[in-house]
Amino acid sequence: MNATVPAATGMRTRRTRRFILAGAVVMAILVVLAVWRGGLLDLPAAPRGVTAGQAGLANLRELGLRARALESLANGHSAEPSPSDSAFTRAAAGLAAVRRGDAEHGVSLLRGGLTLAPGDLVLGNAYRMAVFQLRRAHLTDVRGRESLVARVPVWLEREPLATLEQLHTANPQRETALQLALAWVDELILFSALEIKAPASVESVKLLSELLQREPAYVPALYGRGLNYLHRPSRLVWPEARKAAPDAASRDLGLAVAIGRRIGGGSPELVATLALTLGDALAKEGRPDRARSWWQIAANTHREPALLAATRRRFAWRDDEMLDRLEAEMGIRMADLDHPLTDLSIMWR
Amino acid sequence: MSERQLKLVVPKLRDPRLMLALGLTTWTVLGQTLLYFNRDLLQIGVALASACLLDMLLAFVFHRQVLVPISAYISGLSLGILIASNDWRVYMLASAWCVASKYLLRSSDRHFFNPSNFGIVAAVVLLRNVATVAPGSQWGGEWRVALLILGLGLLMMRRVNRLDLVLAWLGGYVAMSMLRVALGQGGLVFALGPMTGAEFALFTFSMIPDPKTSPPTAGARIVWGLAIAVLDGVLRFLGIRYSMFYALFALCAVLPLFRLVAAARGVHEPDPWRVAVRVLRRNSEPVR
Repeated sequence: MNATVPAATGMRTRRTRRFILAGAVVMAILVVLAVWRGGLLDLPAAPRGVTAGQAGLANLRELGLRARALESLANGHSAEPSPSDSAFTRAAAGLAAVRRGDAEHGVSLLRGGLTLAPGDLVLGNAYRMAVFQLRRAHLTDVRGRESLVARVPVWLEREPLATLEQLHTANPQRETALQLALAWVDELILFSALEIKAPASVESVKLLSELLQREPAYVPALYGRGLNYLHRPSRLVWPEARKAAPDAASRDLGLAVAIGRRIGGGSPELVATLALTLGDALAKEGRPDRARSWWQIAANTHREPALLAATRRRFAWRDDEMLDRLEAEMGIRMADLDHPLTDLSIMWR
Repeated sequence: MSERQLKLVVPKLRDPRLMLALGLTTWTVLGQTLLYFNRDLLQIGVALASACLLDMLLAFVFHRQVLVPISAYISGLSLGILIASNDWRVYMLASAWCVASKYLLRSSDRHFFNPSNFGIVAAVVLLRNVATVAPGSQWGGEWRVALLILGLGLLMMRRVNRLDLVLAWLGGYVAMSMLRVALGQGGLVFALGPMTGAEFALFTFSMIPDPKTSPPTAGARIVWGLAIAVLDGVLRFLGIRYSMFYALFALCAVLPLFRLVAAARGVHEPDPWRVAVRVLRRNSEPVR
């Protein structure tokens, strides 16, 4: 009897060991299969061999230095190092003139600088943002006087679309196409009535889609088109013929994130913003759990107060109210005219 | 027939529920102050008060007991944290269902549903679109906090002798997550991500280890933890929200069936868990 007790205990221990071993083997097989099949983030496959240049993510540091130099010069400070190309100096003089109050002359100089370097994203963005703020100021002024007629000066009326259209026709580059597409989004941000918003978004998506057919890995275009789809109201009638698939936004933004991950190099703010926006797209698509995971990734990528506050607001949304809360949040974001959604400086800040 | 005497029921200091209650209270205080728990104190208060008062009332009516409602405290706090609704009455109803299940749904002389789980499932099913389970990412999206909570939770489980159950559930959850990803359902981050949320932490460290509604033996606890994980994994694969709560609910609902099988074999045992263990072991030895 005494001998059988240790024997039984030994058998039990052996059985436990076998059980643990079998469990470990099963787990190892499952881990390998899971990594092979789904990977970490279940993103669309980034094109093989895609380069930073193809993705539009090359030289972000240099772009950042150029943008800072432009700002310094426009504010009357010296910049070190200061680019000496005439496009840059002209644009810096233009920006300085706009800030001094000589808006017409300033815009003309900015336009002149951009004409000399049509593919320069920093100059293009500076021009577009300057025009955006000028038009906004005029519209605000009109609203303040309760007038029904928008008194935007004649020289500003057709900016920036006319200039960018001409520029793109003369220099059909991906950067000019991108600026033109974003100018349409600027239009819909400034004029939020559906009859302006819908065609402006359609026009922007058309331009970006053409661009993406030629350059399928161009991240700024993917991000721009994704944002367009994301900001379309989900419960209003949208031109049926142009209606996007429910996952259109998350596909574009997911691919942008996948390409960004493959190449690396974007600032934490850029990566976190992409993750947050992808979360928003998934929330709109009706995948709340997945959306929360992306918001969490955004919060862990860039622990900056404004971004953390944005993710925490989202964490508080219940599944059943998510779409309404998301649309309200996007409305607030769209109305933040001090930091328009289309400001490309997020790429190199 | 003699009148039953009033009995004062006070938990002993070694009662594992005290440790659970302490842990849960600490979580709630930290969640409301340092972390981003995002709950309404009034709602937590309503859930807590409703559960405790009703538990005391029903204990008095059914058992002539004057109760220190430690179980109801744990359940009420869990409900206050886990349920999300704009209507405070939801918290009262969920607490009422939770406590009532203890007194009204019994197998022999023991309740077999985890009360807070019953309250949550009843609320999300019967009050659809009014009550939901609070979103999982309540720790402010900070994975280090989630890791700390996991560590502290496991230490607490060791103290309350439910580490085997919780480890089986966690291991089963990870295995089922891997299986879901291998079958094409998303990436690893999304499959394992819920483990960092408050919903998962509270389910793991406050709901399933409830000493009154979890198995008495180590082997049975491991099987129980794995069974919850497997059913949860299947429900998640089918895209069913609140899968953890449904899985625990469904498995608890099966417990009384063991009594039927046991009765056919001549096994008589008041505790539904011990009945289940004896039926599964196919023996008639009482479970120690």
